[in-house]
Amino acid sequence: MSNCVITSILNNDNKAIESYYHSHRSHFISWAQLNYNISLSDCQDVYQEVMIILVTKIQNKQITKITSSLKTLLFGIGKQLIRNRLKLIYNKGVREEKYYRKVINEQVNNEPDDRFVIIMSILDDMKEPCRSLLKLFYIDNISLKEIAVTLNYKSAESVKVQKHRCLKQLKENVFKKLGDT
Amino acid sequence: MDLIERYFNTSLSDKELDLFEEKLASDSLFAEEVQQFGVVFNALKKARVKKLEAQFISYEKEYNSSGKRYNFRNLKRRKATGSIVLWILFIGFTIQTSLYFSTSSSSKNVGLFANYFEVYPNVLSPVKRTINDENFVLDAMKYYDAENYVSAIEAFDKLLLKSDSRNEILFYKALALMTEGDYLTAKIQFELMNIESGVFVNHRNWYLALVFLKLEKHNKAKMLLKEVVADSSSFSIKASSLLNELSAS
Repeated sequence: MSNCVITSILNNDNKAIESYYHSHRSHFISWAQLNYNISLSDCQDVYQEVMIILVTKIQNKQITKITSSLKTLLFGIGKQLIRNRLKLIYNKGVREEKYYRKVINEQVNNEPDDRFVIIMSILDDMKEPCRSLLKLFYIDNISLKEIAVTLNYKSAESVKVQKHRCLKQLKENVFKKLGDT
Repeated sequence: MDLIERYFNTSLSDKELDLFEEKLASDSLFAEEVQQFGVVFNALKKARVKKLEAQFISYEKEYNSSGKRYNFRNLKRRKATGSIVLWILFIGFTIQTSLYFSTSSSSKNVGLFANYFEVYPNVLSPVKRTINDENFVLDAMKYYDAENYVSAIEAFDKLLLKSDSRNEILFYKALALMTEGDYLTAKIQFELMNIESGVFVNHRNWYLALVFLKLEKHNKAKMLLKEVVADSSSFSIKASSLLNELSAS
């Protein structure tokens, strides 16, 4: 069962992701509230973070098969995130507010926001097929095979070659722009 | 390029990684190229995460402020079939009032039980660990996670002979028994739990109330449900709702 869900998430089946999201949400939130005494909105935030971690780990093939159930893994990730969150709250009492706020910001954003905005605007300004190809592959998580069909390429291999060209072009444009600013 | 991407996806083999890191250390131009691609990959990953966030936020619109889900999809269908439903309700009501006193309460209990019973997740060993004292719990919980409740019950029995965490084991054994339909034995496990210890007590009271419901011991179920409501745990909302339904039936 869990491995079927993993396959669906890996294939970016949005209906399966949505169904999985709804199927464990209320249970996760009740469990988190009961065991960790955190607010409903915090529980909702944590649940979304857990789902993001789970989906990205599956789609990055860091989780391919599991021996226990996916639900157990979901609750395990949740437990870890809540503990980290609680540790952060605990630290709040003993550290200078200014200091830990800086730490939180650094943890949340690996990429400074302005740089991220610049890169995304360069991506948006790229010509076709690069813009669609990079977005489909990296942001929408569509496979090379599906992109080949969507964008009329001969094969997944041709898409891969084009993707490398586009990526190189994006990188050059980004550092040209960043060098100018 | 392929190697650089696989480096950031941590999918290089050990041999490839050694060669890659060797080149990184010896070739400054290559190192700069890798660092620049790193910036681009990070931004693309972040865009992917933002897209998922937006996707999940859109799912949240289906919930109200108390976290319960609106049934939007059925709403449309309901509108379309509204008049039919009204007729069915009218006919159903007529038939039901004539049959009301001959209907046994057990069928209602089955429905209530099915609505409220949900297997509690494994929170004892949620991820694979190799800590020695948790290994024996892990073995039993593996069966529980795999929904192999018969083997889980056997493993819990063995555990009960040697484990200090009796309350937890009794609780999960009772849950496994409930899923197997053995409510009487499940009830005994719950009653063997040490309430004074406070471990899993709210959980125990909620599930024991469900067992009483299944065994048609309504008064006992109601008494426990009142305790759960008074505890103000997250089971309280469910308990209060079930209590209302029981009182109304």
